[in-house]
Amino acid sequence: MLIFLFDRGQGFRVRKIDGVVDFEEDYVAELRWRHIRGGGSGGGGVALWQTIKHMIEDGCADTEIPLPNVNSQTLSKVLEYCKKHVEAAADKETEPEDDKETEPEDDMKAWDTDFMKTVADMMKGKSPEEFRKTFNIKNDYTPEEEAEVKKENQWAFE
Amino acid sequence: MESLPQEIVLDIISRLPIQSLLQSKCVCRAWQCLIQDPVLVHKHLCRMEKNDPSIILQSDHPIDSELYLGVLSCQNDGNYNMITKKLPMPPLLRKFYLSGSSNGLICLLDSYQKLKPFIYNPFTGNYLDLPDLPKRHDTRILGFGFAPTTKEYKVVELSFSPWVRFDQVDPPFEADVHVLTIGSPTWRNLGTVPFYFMRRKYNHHVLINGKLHWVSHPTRNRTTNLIISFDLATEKFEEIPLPDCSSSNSNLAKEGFGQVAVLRGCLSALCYEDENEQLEIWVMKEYGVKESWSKEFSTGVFVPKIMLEQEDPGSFFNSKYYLHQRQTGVLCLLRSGELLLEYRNKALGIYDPKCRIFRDVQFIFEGIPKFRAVLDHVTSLNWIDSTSLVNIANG
Repeated sequence: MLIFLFDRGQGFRVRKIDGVVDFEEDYVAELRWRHIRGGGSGGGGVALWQTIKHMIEDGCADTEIPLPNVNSQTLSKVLEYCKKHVEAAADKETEPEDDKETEPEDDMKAWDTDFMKTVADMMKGKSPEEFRKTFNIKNDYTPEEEAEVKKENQWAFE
Repeated sequence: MESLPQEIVLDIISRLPIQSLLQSKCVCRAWQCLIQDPVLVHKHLCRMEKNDPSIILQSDHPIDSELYLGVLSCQNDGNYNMITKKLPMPPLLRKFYLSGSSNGLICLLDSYQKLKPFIYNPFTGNYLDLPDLPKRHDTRILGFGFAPTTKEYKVVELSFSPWVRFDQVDPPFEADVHVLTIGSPTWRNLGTVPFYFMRRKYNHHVLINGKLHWVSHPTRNRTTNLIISFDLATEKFEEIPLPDCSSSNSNLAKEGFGQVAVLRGCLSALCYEDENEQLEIWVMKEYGVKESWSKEFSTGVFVPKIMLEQEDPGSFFNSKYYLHQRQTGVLCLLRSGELLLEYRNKALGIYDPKCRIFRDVQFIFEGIPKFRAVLDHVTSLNWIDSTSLVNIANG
């Protein structure tokens, strides 16, 4: 069983308990299959992350979960990211404690940075509505308030 | 958003260009707060400082004195375009000079009726009127910058009479110095300094670690130009040690540097060697250490396309010497390793040191054909800490 830990300050961490689980086989393949079957596009990596998180936390990995619409570029990036984190977590657990731990940590940091860069790149040039989709955010402005904020920042929308 | 670690969202948002950042304020209330939060503003500013700077342009004929943001974009063929976008202007501004940029803030001098400097961030819309400058002399240079040690923004005015009288033997060897700490209601008089600061049409200074730098003409007992620094924290002027010249025939030995610049955070200076038609760019790798000066670029000469159509190509003011020794500035060293140069505040060029070639920067203007002042600028939502403005509100 895999648990996704949302560790403040350190980003996403993946922990492996109850023996060896092949992440790719058990979860990713299913996600990919659903993705292909769903045929969605657009959306973003962070929303998918939330889905994966809830899926794992709720222990419902083998029941059907609606996936946000994601494009293949985003999905492959996220899957790559998941895999990398799982591998690093597995490495850390198998290594004796006195081993130098800085390398996988640095490696992980580089990966997190790369991930956040990718998400930021995907967000460039997108509208607030597209941001909301990407981050799965509810618009809590009243239409008047939203128009006001938009007016204040009119320059950015021209 | 609620289920995502704030740090992750913050990190992602801090990587966005200014336009996306402003648009994100419309996403939801929490994001609006996050984007105005000083933590995010600081993080975004630090990231933007590591990127290539944006360019602020002041328009010329036919519509005078509008500000534009210019963003360089590299084409597949290696040529650069500059895409410009008109910026909102603060109210009641008529005629102004672009005087400096520091931490995402621009210093402008409104010269319509009085000399009124002010600080402006076009991306937040914040602006701050500063106390009027009394007219002391005909000529002035303004410097603006942030002193990291005292965490203060300051504007410094160097004023002097121009050297216009033919019967006047000596140039004005003195400049009056006045300084204003942002937040304080009055300009302070720092007396005079024995330098004759070099002016260009629009005054650019170079800011490194809280010190402003200008070129000065030779003073009484000297034959070559000097580089003078002003420490914004201690308010002291100093002369920067210059490299020894191996050849006494060089223009560097005879005249000295004509411009200062900052390359990768180091003080740099430009000198045009007429003999072999080279624009030489020197970098002081360790600040204040004379021996650390090294000649990093020797670029040859370049005359941008729009300047080839000069009315009188034979005049001194259109000569290669004048253009390169006095009217060429380095805006920055791009991350690609190329230099972004400006010519007479009218044209931009890119120099690629690997292939040793120059390229014109093509402008894609929104309505205006020309600009007359250019400044490198870090786009940010930064604004002056309100605690330092208390004095103004009370005064």
